[in-house]
Amino acid sequence: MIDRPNAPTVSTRTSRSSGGRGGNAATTAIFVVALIFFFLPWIAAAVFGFTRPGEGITAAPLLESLQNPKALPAIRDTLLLTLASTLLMLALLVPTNIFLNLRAPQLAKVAEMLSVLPLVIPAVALVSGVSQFYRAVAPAFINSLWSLVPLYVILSMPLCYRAIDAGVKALDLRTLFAASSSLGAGTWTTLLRVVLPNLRVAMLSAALLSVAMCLAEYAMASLLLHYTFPVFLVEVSNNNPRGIAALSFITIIITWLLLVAISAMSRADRATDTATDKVRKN
Amino acid sequence: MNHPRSLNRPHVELRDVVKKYGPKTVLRDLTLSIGEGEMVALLGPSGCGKSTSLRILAGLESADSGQVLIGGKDVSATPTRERNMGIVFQAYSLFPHLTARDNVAYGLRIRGVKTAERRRRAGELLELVGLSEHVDKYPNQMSGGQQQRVALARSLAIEPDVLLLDEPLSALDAKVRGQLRDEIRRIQLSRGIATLLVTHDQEEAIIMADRVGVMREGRIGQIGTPADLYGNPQTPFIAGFVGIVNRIPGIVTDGGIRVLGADLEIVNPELRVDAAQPATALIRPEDIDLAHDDAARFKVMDKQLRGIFTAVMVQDEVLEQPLRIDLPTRAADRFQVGMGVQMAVQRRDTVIDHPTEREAAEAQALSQVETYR
Amino acid sequence: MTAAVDALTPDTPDAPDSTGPEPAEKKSSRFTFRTLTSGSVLGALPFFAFVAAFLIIPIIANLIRAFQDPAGRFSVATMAEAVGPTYRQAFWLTTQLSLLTAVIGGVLGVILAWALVSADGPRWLTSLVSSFSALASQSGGVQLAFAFFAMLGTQGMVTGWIESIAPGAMAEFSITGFLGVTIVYLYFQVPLMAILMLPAMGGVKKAWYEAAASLGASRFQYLRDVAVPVLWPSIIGSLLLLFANAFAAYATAYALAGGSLNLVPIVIGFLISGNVLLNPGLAAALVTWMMIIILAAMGIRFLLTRKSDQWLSN
Repeated sequence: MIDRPNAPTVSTRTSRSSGGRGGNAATTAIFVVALIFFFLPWIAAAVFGFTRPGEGITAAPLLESLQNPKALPAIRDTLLLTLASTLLMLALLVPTNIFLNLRAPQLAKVAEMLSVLPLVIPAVALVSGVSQFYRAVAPAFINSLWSLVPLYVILSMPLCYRAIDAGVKALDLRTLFAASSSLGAGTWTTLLRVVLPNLRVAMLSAALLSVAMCLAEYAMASLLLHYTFPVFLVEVSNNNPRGIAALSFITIIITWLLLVAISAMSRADRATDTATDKVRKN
Repeated sequence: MNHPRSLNRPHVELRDVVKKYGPKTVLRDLTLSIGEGEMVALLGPSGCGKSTSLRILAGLESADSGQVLIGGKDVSATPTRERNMGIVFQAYSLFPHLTARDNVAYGLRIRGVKTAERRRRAGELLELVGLSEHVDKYPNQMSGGQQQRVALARSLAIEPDVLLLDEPLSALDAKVRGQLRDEIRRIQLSRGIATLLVTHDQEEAIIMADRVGVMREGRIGQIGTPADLYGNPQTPFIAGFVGIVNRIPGIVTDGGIRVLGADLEIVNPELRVDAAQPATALIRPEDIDLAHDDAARFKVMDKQLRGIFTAVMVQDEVLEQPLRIDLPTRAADRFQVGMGVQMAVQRRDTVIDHPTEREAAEAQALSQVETYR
Repeated sequence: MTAAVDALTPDTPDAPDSTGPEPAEKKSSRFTFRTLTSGSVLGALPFFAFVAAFLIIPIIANLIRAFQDPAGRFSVATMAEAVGPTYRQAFWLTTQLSLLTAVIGGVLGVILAWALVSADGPRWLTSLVSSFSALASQSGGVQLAFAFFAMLGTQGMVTGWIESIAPGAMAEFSITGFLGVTIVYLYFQVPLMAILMLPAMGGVKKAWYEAAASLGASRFQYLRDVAVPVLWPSIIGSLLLLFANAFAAYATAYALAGGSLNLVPIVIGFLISGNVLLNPGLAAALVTWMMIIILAAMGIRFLLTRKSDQWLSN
């Protein structure tokens, strides 16, 4: 669907020169406006979803939507899909990326180009192709809900691959492995004890991206005739718009909380890094 | 090749410039003058305020108080683009999408010079800096040294009143640095442009500039000709920054300091060390002479050939660090490793510093031994 | 921010720019394909097999089908039909929507990117805005549509505000119409543009402005002669990406407008799921045309940014 640049790192030049002085008020104003626009729809969703004219603040719309017999199975299915897709994504991308960066850098380049491909292939396109091929070859597969798992992994691949790749490239793999083996550890031990802990933040970020995508993915699920949470939302939206707004709000809150948790963890990671650096320097 | 310039009237001046960034004061009452045709270097460790001084002079930052004068006129309120100054930055200042020639011609283009004329002049300047074969190259096709030459040519194109060099050689490797250093100085002298050079490399400052000001924590500690600064540093910091010094413990006496058997005047009595107390004398390697003496305490530990002179490392059991004495290589040939040597200080005065604990102990130990010799 | 949400979120440290040693020669990987051993191919196999099975093969299957007639023989008839009169309107409308959201999103996004790059205020604010930009750029989905219903729909919160100030102003407006969908798309297009432009704008060196000023250039002249020439390939390239992004979007459009908006992805969806008529061959053809358009946009983008990336790195 969309392309992404390489992990962008930006140096905000502390612009204390005459060019930047007036800029400060302007940039703050721009930020405030931006934040308002980012949050406003979701605030509206919360307001709309948790109130009813004449009743004030109430959870009734939300509860009514959940009482729909299709609701809970849809939620359950989406959660299962999210879990499975995220785990599969990690299980596939992390070892592959480590392996490629370590042993086959030229293949790593190919893999990187492949990982970006789904950006150019929109979800509808993928559905069309998958439908063409698998209905003919393995119809049972495509009819099962679980067929969405590998497809979701493909959809989330561009961003997740980048996130993990950035994390792996930030480690000096060769040195880590060399140092570790000089201390007597085997490859697997090194992987589990040394490399993975250092990839914690990268993996969590990739997981966040995957979760956010799965919770909101509609195109593939609906066009392949599966009933997931987003499909449920669309179906019920006319009957119970407030309940759906409430559910949408809850979905985005979950994503935000995950984001906050991961950035807290990443800051903690970096604090330990600087602390160990300080110890090392002394 | 540093001729002291007679300064009738300073061409460029910073007067009592104060600059703060939030709670931090970066420049304290900085006063500096540069004469016409003179190159002044501001030398100091990072964070001392030298770059800030240059930027205030250029108008890229403004001072909280104080004045900037060019040709006697206060330009503090004039924006950079009207100050007619050439600036060479440390790196990456060339416009990446323009060829070398177009980069150099840019200032002329702003001034409305016709295309053919400005291309011609740009070509001349590029020839001046030795890049006539690279005129149509883009910055990313050139090495760091070549880029800095283009930057220099570009700054000269507008025929500036003042040339500002902000660590122009720091990003280059040593060999290129040496070549470019000489070229910059040659061009500066031939054009007679007042120049401010900011650098943390003392060798660069000493070799290139007419006068050098050593900065520390927002102030100029000492300013003078390279010879002045090198031969008569006023503080321990300056002595150590502009050249190499031996830290030799001694005992302060009524008139000065007694070190290595010699009585030396103290250059910086404001340090206030009482008589009979230990202090550390800072003496340059070339200011000590050696004489062969098998009965002496100090023994030759190592000799390092450095070209026309040799650094002779000399050790004594009491001192933790060996002392370094620089002799002309031919003279140094007379001394072998293991030989005992007598040392004679060739100066009458010295800068002193507060001794570390170890040095204080060493001073006491040494003075004891002298008495019983 | 998290080191690896870097894929989206830019890290914004106060690093001084352009002070550093001579740019190191790029470490060229001296591995050629000759150093591939069977072992290394094997290790990469799961990944490549996976991608083949669930991406490559479906695409190829789609391509093949697009160039077949209903009987299965090679034919360009289906491809021709896909851009025939029935569907031309869909392409045109989708192009309009994509162009509009790309251009508006582009302008606003560049402004946001400029603010992120030159902000001198509290770090937490810049960081907050950039992380939420990253997240917002990803938010194209059904939940976003419902949030906008709550905000600008007939019973929406902001609709109510506007009505109370200027009654009747919102009478003509519908969140499910072209304009409404444009506004919703902008929610993710603007931050996406900001994110895309951040590396380029961060690569603009302060020394360029200062050098230009020392040579006598005014701010306007600097923008005209240096900043814009250096940045415009990235800007156009990012606009193309925004275009492709909007062109391919399905979920948001469907949740907002259902079938009432004649957009190419929506039409494809109908043809696949048999909502109105089941015609997978035509769907395949439409998909192929859509991918051609997207690939063209990406191709131009690639060519444009190759050179300017060099200028903006270091």
